[in-house]
Amino acid sequence: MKKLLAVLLAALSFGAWAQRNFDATVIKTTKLTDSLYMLEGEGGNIGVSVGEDGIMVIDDQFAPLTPKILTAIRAISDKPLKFLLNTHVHGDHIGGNENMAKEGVVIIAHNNVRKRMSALQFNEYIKRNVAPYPKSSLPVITFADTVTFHFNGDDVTVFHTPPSHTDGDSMVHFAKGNVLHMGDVYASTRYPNIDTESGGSLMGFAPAVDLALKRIDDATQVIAGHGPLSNKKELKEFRDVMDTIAKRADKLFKAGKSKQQMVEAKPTRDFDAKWNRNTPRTPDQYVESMYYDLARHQLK
Amino acid sequence: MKRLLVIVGVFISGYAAAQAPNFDAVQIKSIKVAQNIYVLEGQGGNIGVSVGEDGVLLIDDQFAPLTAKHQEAIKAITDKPVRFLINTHYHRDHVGGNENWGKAGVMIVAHDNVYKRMTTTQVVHLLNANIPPYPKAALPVMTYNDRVTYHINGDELTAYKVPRSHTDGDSMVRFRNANVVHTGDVFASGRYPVIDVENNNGSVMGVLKAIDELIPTLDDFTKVIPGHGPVSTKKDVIAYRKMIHTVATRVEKLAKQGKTLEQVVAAKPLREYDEEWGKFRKTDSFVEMVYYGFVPYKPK
Repeated sequence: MKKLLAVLLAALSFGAWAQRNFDATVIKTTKLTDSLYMLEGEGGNIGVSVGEDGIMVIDDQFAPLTPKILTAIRAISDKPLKFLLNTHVHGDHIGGNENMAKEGVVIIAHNNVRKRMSALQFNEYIKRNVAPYPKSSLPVITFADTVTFHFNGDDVTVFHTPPSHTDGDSMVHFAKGNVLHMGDVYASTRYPNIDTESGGSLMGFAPAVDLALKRIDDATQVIAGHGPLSNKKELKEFRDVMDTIAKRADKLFKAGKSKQQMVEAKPTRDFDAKWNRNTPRTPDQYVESMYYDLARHQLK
Repeated sequence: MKRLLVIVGVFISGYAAAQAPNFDAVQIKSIKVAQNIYVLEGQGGNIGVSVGEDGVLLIDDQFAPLTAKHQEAIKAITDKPVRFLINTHYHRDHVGGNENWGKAGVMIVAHDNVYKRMTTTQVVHLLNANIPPYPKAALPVMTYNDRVTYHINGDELTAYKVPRSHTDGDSMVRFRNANVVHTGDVFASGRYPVIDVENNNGSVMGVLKAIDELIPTLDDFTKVIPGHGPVSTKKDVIAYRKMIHTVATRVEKLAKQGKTLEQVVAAKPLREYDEEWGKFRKTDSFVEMVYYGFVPYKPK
């Protein structure tokens, strides 16, 4: 178990962020449309909308990266920074909030993002408490279900999804730009993390992705929380994989199988080659996390 | 009927865009409702004001020519900048100042349907109104389908959609800690409200429903800021509910008997209220709006 945690710690890069060195990190900018961009650095993928109304940013990686991220944004536009959306509560997506607030952005997220940021959280990957965030980094406006921005000539819908990665996940859809930012409900090359401690749920991924699929078409550019730019076809495949492995694991769990028995049953076997890339986490470790999730939800 | 419309036109001053009324004589009265919360009375809907360390949030903004006077009144309360504006609904006596505030960089937020009606021409015969689409600066930049919460000035302010009643985009704004609620025009204190019944909009039964949902959220200490009329209490809301229920019941019965509008008006369904409640809005015009909650409206 200790070894597992060490691996997970390294793999998920949770915790000890402050001490981490980001000197070597380079922010890569990808132009998606005339007004929409994706920034990659370290942590969750960032979405950027620029135009006559100003700049909207989706997620902000880690605090030490803010200057580099701002430099990348300024290379695109000199308009004022207006809005920052947080897709969920994790530090690799909201780490720069406090810095961005100083730039004058209004931070917006789902109710549960603020709720979790405001309280002491237990992080199950590192088995350690995470202190409440300072007030200046908290979302100022929170929503229960859906908000729509009428911004830079687009209708930008931010919608809450069923609990999956966490219980405060949102996706962001640019209707005219035909771009969707998925947050960490979707990692385009690997199984997504299930943060059960933050209210996530294995069974929620397929229903959450279904909400996204309803909105997009074959030409939609899909920004995953982690991993390369994706599309509807790949997302549909991801949805079916998550649906299949969740149902298999649920069936094993309901049949009374132990964690070890579930791992040995290899419910992810036919998907591992494709969907366990770019992570030191082994498929068996992922099945263990699925088991923990099911066990916790049974306790509730 | 022509005479009725003229009367309605006079009473709902400001709707007639062609002959803009003169606001020179209007004085803005500032009333402290609670610690950090004020009401500005002038001409048009009551303005709610939240002040504090995070800046100023306004609820509604009356008519455009009054913005400068509002700014003066706000400066007398605080030197913090106005940052946020919530519109309780789309009527001109509540959103008239939007363009001024939008140009000043204030973030305007409202329900989805407020945006829809402000971006299309609204012809409302009963209100003698023909309102072209608003310029972009006047439009809400963010809209919600259900509710949003502002975490500012030591309080939680939730703007939430209520049933289709005064219009199809009515919100109330609740100050959780201060125990204050701004009801928009769903509640007019001690007077007959407007019910914007044309174009698949409000209805008297919706007003009843919205008020029935409001009352359980109030206690004896709640300060209720109505859309029009003085700052009120739960008792006043209950008296209003009784009036609405009385007129709805009587008019529904007459309408179902096939009575014409003229016959319903002649039956004086608000006889015991007229002397007190009819001071601010003529009974006949109100009964007409109630009537069209039960009979489909046809422009004459």
